[in-house]
Amino acid sequence: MTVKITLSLPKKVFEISGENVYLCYQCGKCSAGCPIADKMDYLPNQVIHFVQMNNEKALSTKMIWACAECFNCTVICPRGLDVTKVMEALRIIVLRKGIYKLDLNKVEKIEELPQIALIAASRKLTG
Amino acid sequence: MKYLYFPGCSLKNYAKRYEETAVAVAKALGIELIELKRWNCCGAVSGLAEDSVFHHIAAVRDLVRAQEQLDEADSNKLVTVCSMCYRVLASVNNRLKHNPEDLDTINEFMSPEEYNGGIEVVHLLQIIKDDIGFDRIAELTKKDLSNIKVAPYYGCVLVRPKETAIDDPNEPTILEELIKSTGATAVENPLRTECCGSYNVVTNRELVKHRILNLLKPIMRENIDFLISVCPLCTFNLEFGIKANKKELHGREIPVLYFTEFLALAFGLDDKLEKEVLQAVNI
Repeated sequence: MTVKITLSLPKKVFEISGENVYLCYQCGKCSAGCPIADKMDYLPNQVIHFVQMNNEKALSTKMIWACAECFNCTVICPRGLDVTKVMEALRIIVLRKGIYKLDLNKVEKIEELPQIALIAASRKLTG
Repeated sequence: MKYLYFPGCSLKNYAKRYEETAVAVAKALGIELIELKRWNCCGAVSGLAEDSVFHHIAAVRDLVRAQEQLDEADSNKLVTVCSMCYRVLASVNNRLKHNPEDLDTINEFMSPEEYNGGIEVVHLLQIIKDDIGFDRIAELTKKDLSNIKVAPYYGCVLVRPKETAIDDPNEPTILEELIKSTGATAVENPLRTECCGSYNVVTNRELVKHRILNLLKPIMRENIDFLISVCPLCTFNLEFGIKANKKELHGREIPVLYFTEFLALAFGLDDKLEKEVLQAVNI
């Protein structure tokens, strides 16, 4: 599903997170440190680049939904950009449109999972 | 010393063994943990949006509960054991302290309840390090653990982001110091602060399986006796990942202990440990 936004993406991200994506000079350290980057469609620095270019593709990347806020990128960013917060802002743009990424009825073997995982996932993947 | 204590959902349910040993070990160290009379789920993860305080309300309610019971404790520290609870409560507390406007918004919503910002959120590891000292662990250790090799695993939430980190985000040493103080060997674990995959276990178990294998690879050559974890979700993912990667790990079943289980073991509090854990570590 495509998400239409009226404000430009960098502005919208700034409004939600207070983060200025233009700080990023594409060194890629965030992607080097991202523990799940090797299984993703786009790397964290590529997602940031989409935002810089006002490309709404950023909102449909797997990356933003699999990011579980480990803050590795934030800690190592030489420009002081809180990349984790940008990822959250991108999720929030989608979630606030009422588009959710988790349906608990469809989770297989849900009874095996601890509530800490279910609560965390529900809070990050639904509105 | 008496401290207020927030258990959180996992410690009452899936991670009962964590609470059982945390309370016993704390008692042995002279720490009395006073559980909050009323508490609710902290939320497990906090919201990072600057334009909304919606995700913080659950945590603030817990801080208010602590505020109500403050006269029963010797300090304004609220002790957490689950590391995810720690980060949620600590980060929300930090944000409200630094943003009085957000505190006003929340207080207005919760009226007549009101949070005054007077609680300090800490993790049990900090209490042990700062208020008790690791020397006390050495004194209380009854077992000879000199042949035991342990790999510490921090996960992310205790050490990142910097604002709530209980130790250096890149090179933490608190668990290593704790392990060494019992006489056991702390194996160098280069990926000890990398994410376990967290709540991705709900939507993408393959990703978590892959994560755990990557985390274990560098320490597989070491003949470790067990891993030490501080987080109920890391422990779940590690245990799940070790089973799921049985083939890749050549059938090795590495036990995962909470740091409090490890201390209970060292202190000879075997009756507080679950049979399965005792059998798995076999000390």
